[in-house]
Amino acid sequence: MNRIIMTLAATDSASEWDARYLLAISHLNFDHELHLICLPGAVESCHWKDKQWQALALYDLAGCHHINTAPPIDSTPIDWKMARLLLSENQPTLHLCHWQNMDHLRYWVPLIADHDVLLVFGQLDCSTINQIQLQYPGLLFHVVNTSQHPHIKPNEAQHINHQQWAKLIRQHQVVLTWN
Amino acid sequence: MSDMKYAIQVHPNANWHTSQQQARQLCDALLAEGAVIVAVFFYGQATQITALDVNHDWHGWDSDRSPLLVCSTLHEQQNNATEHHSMFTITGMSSWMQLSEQADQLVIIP
Repeated sequence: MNRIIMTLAATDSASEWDARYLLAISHLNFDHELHLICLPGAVESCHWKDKQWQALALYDLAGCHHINTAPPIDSTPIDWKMARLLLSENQPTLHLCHWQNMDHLRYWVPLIADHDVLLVFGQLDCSTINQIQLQYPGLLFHVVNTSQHPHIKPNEAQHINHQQWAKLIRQHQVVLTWN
Repeated sequence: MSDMKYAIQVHPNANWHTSQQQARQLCDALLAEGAVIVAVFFYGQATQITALDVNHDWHGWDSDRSPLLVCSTLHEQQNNATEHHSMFTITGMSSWMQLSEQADQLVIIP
């Protein structure tokens, strides 16, 4: 519980960067083992100043890792496979995604390993689900549809309810939330 | 049945109204399985939940058993309403950190 791995993504907004910084500093104040993983494009879109990065390093950040561009502190270059290993130590992982669009999905999908499960919640119609199935034929994914007028039949294979979502959480020791 | 203890952080990356709604339904499902929710923490855009008055999804929630915490720093930054909210506790990060340390698992609802 006290080992925290924070993913920093290109998709984060300016206010989101502020929120993540406050969270990072708070974890360090509580002597949590905090690791940062800068996903592709994160450093380029980062709103943290160099001084803020350095403050994290001074507060005993346990580790910093990056895919592609390095942040302005000591950081280890890694690839997606290594990022997945750091995040879940090879344990089957439940990925949580609040649906945005296919670009968002494509950005995060490389973190999904064999036997992982993706849960997507949001307003997805049948054509979007079909598109995901076509692009990622081996992907194990479930959908919790939040639309008030879902165009998904209750017997749709991917469609699950909150009890099943809770069961998935219970079955996975690692739950990775996509920013 | 489960006796797992969960800390739930509502930290949206998209429509926060949906995030808080889904978090409530998931928490209800976890409780129905016998799990314990040590706290629910509203963070990022979800700190705006205090501005909703009655239009949130946490009515009937036992906040004595599982407190509903709202990050005070982000709440102030976003100029949210500061009047008294009986269900939600606007608090610093330390309260959340202390409670989340009691949990077996942290689940972040995006």
